[in-house]
Amino acid sequence: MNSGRTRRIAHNKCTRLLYQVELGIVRPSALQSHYLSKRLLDLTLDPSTTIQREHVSAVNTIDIEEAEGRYLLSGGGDGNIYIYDLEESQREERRVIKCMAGAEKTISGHKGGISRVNWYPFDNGMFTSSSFDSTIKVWDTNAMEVACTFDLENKVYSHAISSKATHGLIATASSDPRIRLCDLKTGAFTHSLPGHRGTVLSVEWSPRHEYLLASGSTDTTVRLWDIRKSSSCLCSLDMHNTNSPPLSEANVAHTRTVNGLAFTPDGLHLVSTGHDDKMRLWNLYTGQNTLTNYGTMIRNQFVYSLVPVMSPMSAGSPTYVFYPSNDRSILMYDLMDGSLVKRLTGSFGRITALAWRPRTQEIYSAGNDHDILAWGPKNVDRDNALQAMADLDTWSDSD
Amino acid sequence: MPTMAMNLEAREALSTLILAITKTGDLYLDPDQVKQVKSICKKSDVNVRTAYDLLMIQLKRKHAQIRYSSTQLIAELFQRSHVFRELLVADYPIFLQLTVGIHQHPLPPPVVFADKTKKLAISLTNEWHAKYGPVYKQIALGYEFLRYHLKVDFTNLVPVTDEARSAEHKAQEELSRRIRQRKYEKAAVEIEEMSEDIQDNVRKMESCFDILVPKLDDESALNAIFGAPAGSNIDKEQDIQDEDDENKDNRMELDDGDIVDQEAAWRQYDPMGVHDNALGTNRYKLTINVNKDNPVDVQESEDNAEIFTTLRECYRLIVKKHWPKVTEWMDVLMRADHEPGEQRAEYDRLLKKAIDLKKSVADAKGKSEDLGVNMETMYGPYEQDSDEDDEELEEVEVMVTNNTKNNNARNKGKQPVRNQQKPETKKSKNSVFSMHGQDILEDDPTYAGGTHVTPVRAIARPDTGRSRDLGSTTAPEGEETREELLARAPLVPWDDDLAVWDKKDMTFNTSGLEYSHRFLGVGDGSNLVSQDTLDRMKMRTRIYNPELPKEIKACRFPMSNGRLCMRRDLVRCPYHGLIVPRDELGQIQLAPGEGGFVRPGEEVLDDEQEAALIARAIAAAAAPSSSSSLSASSRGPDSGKAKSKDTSTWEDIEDDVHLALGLEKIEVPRKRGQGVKKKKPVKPPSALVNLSKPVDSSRARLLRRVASKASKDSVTQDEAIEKSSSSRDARLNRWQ
Repeated sequence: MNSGRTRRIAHNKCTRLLYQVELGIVRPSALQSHYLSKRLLDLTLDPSTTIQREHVSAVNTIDIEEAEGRYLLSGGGDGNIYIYDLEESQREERRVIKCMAGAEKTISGHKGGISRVNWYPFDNGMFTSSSFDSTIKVWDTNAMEVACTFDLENKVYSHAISSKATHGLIATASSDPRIRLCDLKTGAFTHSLPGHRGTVLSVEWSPRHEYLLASGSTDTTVRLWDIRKSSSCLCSLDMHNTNSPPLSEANVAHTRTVNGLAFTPDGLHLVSTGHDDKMRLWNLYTGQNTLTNYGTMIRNQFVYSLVPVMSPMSAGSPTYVFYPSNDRSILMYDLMDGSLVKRLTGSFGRITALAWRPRTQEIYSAGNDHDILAWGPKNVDRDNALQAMADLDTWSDSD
Repeated sequence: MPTMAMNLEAREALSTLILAITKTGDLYLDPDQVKQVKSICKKSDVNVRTAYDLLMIQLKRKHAQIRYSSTQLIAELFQRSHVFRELLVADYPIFLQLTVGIHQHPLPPPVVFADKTKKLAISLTNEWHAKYGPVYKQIALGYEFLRYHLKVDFTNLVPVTDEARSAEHKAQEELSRRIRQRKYEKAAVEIEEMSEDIQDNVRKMESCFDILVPKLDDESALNAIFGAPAGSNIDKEQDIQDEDDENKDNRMELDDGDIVDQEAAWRQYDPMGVHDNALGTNRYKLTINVNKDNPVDVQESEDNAEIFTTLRECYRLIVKKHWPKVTEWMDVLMRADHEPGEQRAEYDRLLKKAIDLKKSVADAKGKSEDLGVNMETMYGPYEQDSDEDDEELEEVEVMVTNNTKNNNARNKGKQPVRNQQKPETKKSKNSVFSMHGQDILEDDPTYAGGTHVTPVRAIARPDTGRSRDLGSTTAPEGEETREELLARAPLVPWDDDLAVWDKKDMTFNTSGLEYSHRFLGVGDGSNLVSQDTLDRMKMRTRIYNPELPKEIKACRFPMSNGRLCMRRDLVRCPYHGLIVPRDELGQIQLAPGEGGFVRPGEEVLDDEQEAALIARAIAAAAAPSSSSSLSASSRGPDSGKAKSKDTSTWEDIEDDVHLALGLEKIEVPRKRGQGVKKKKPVKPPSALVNLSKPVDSSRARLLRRVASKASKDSVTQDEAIEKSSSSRDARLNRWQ
C-alpha cells in the first residue's frame, strides 16, 4: 500500500511537471533531470539482463562508446577484447547479451593483460587498448584487427584520448615516470612530459580544454599539464591548499599512491582517488581542494587505474559519482556535498571498472570474477508473476 | 510512545530468542523457539529487520556451530518474509562468505559444523536459485559464482527447505504410483493368461484326490470304505449324542402313546435303519479319532504310485510357480490405486478372480500336504528335480534333506548325550565345592574352569554315570547309603585340603626311582608323607571377615554451646570418653538391666574389655573390604559435611575443649566471600564446542613437555656442563 501511494504521488508530480513544461513555467530540462535523478536513485542490479561471460580471467576494463551508446568494449586480464551489442534482444523479458565480436590472443593482439580500452570518441569504427605487455594498440572495429601499435617499453596502466580535441593524441600512463603522447595521425610519439617521480597510474584529458591533461602517480601527486607549453606542467595539486608555489615539491594530492582521476562532465572539477582510501574533489579554476568529505566507506588498495564514473550534470538535480570500492560494492556519492547516496551490493567479485550508459541511465561494471554486470533502474511497473511471488509474504497461519 | 515500546519489547524478545537458538549448538533447531521468532516477525516488518540484523551478527561469530544454527534460522525466515529476502539478497555475497567461505574467508572451527554449514548454504542457494533466481539477480549470481569459481556440484543435493522436500516427496509418490500402475497392468495380463493353467492344474489335483480319498459326502464311497451297508451314521460324535437325546425323548413319549404308528414312528426316528442293520439299539456311541498328524491315512503303494507321481508334479508346479504368482498378484492388486468408473469394475473382477484362484490353489496345496506330499517329499523316492538344471545344486539339496532326516531320526531315538550334560556341569560347578572367588574367575577368559571341578563333581553328583559306579563300589552294603551321607555332608568351598582330607597315609615318589637330597642324603626308605606334614596339608586357611558396624554412632555429648558432639568413633570419643546411647538432649539413656547412670568420662568397662573392643574395631577397619562409608564417617569431624542446627562442627568441639581447658577461643580468619557464595548465573545447557580451549593435540602435549621451564633449565644446565668440561679437557691437553 505504501509503495502504491508513493508511486501515485510520483505520478502526480510527473503530470504536474509535464503540465508546467507545457505551460512554459519550467524548462524542459527540469523534467529530464527529475526523471534522471529518480531513475538513478532506483538503481539496482538488473535482474533481467545477463551479459554472457566470455573472459576466462578478470575483466579489467570496459568502455561504452559515446556516439551511439550501444557497444560495450571489454578487456580482460587474459588479453582478450570483446564487443557486446547492448541493444541485443532489448525487447525481450530476459535479455542475454552475447558477445558480437572478439579479439582473442593472436599474433597481432596483446600478449599480456589489458589495462584499459577506449573507444575513439568520435567514431565507433576504431578503438584503442593498452596492455601490461607495454604496448598500446589501435584497432579497426570492423575487421577486429590491429591498425597500429605503439611500444612504450614499460607496463602501460592507462591511456586516454581527448573527447574534445582534434589533435588525436593518446596520453599514456606507464611505469615510466614520463607521460608520453602518441599521435594517431603519424603513429609516432610526439611528447614526453617529465615531472612525476613514480609510476603514472592514470591520465585523463579535460573535456573542457582540449590541451589540458591531468595525471596521477605513485609519487602521491596529481599534475595538470598544458601540452602546448614547453615547460608543460602547470601545477601539482595540493590537498592542504597552502600558498606554496604551484610546482612545489611539497604539494601532494593524497598521502599515498594516486590511482584514479575523473573530470566532471563540465570540466570544471576533477575527482582524484588514492590508496589512502580518500576521494578528493578539486576545483580546476582555482586548483584548490574543495575539501569535500566523502566519508570512510571507500576501500582502495590495488595498483591499477581506477576510474570513478559520473552521471551527467543537469540543472536542478545533483550529480552523482560512482566509485568502485574494493569491498565488492559500488558507492554512489553526491558529487558536491559528498554524501553517500547508495551502496550497490551484489557483485561477487571486486569491481574493477565502471561504464555509464547515458541513454538508458544504466551502469555496467566489470569484476574480477570474470563477469560484467548491468545495474539499471528498478522497473517498478514490471508486473509479472515471478515478481509477485517474490513480493509475497508467506507466513503460515500457525506462526 | 506505545509503538516504540512495543518495538523495544519485540527487539528484546527477538534478541534473547535468537541468542538462545544459535547458542545451543544443536544440530536441529528447537521448533517452539523458531515458531516464536516467526510469530514475532510476522507482526511487523520492523521486527523482521531487527531479526535480520541480529542474525547477521550471530552469523559473523567465529564459531561454526553458531553459524550453522543461524543459517538454519535464516532459511526459515527467508522462506516466509519478503522483507527478509530483500535484506538477505542485498548482502548475499556476505552471506556466502560467512557460510560457504568464498573470497578467502575460511569458515571457523569446529570442522564438522563448518562442513555442515557449507553444505546447507550450497543446498539453500540451489533451492533459492530455482525459485527466486529470475527475480533476485544476486542469488543467480551467487549460484553462478559457486558453480563457476568453486566448481560446486549442484546435482544430487539433499533438499533442505520444506518446499523442496515436499516437491521431492511428491515426485517420489508419483514415481511409486506409476510403478504400482505398471505392476497392476502386468498382473492383470498375467491373471488372464495364467488363470487357465492354474485352474487346469488344480483340476488335475482334484481328480487325483478323488481317486485317492473318497469324498465324505458321497455315500457309496463311504460304503466302500466301511464295507457296511448303507445307512451307517458316521456323523461326528456330538451329532450322534444330540440325536440320541432326541431319540430318548421320543421313546419316552412313545411309551405313553399308541402303538399303531409305532412302525411309522420307527421309520421316522430311525431313518438310517439302525434296527434294520441288526443293531439292538441306537444308543451305541461311535467315536472316530482323527489322527491329527495324518488325517487322511492313504499310504503310497504300487497301485497308486502313478497317481502320487502326478500329484507330486502338480504340487511342485503349485509350490514353485503358482503359489508365489498368486500371492504376488494379490499383493499388487491390494496395493493398486482404486480408480472409479470402468476401471474400478475391471479391478473388482480381477480381484475376485485372484481371490478365487488363491483359494483354490491353497485348497489343493493343503489337501496334498494332508496326503503327505509336502515340501520335503515333493520329490518322490526315486524322482529328481527335473526343473533344476544345475546338477550340483540338486545333489547338495538331496544330501541336505537326507542329513536332516537322519538327524531327526536320531534325535527321536535318543537325545544326544552332550546336550543333556551341559547344563548339569554348569550347575554342579556353581553350587557345590565352588572355589573361593570362582565367580570372579569365571569372568576371566583365561580361566579353564573345568579341570578343578571334575573330580569333585564325580563325588558330588550321584546321578552321573561315573559317580554311580564309584558309589556302588565304595559304599559297603548295610551301611548308610551314599545319598544319605551326602545329605549330611557339610558343604565347604574348594581348597587343596579336600584332596587329602580322608587320607590316613600318603605316599610320594611312586616312580620307584630313588632321589637323594643333596644335603640330607637318601631317605629312610618309606615313601610316606609324615603324619605331621599330612596334618598340615589337611589344614586350610580361612580369612576372617568380621562384621562391620553398618552405622557408627555419634558421640552426642552435650557441649557448652548447647550442641551435641558429632564425632563418630567406634568405642570412645577422645574428648568425651566412652560412647553411650543418649537422647535428643544428650542425656544418657538407661540401658535395660543396668542400675545407674553412666557418667561421661567414667570407666565402665575394665581395661581388658576395652582393649578387646578396640582391637576388634581396628581389625575391622584394617580389613581389606572395609567399606568406604566407614572411612568417610570415621573422618567425621574433619569432613564437616552436615551443618544442621543440632550437629556441631570441628570448630565447635575445638572451642569446647579450649573452654574446658581455660584457653582462648581460636579465631579463624575467614576467607572473603566464603560464607556467602556468589551464585553464578545458570547457563542453559549448550552443545557449543569451546574454541578458546587449547587443542589437546600431540604437538601441544609434546610442546608442554619440551618447552616447560624445567626441561629448558636442564638443557641449559647440560650445555653449561658440556662447555665447562670441554674447556677443562682443552686445558688438560695443554701440557705446557
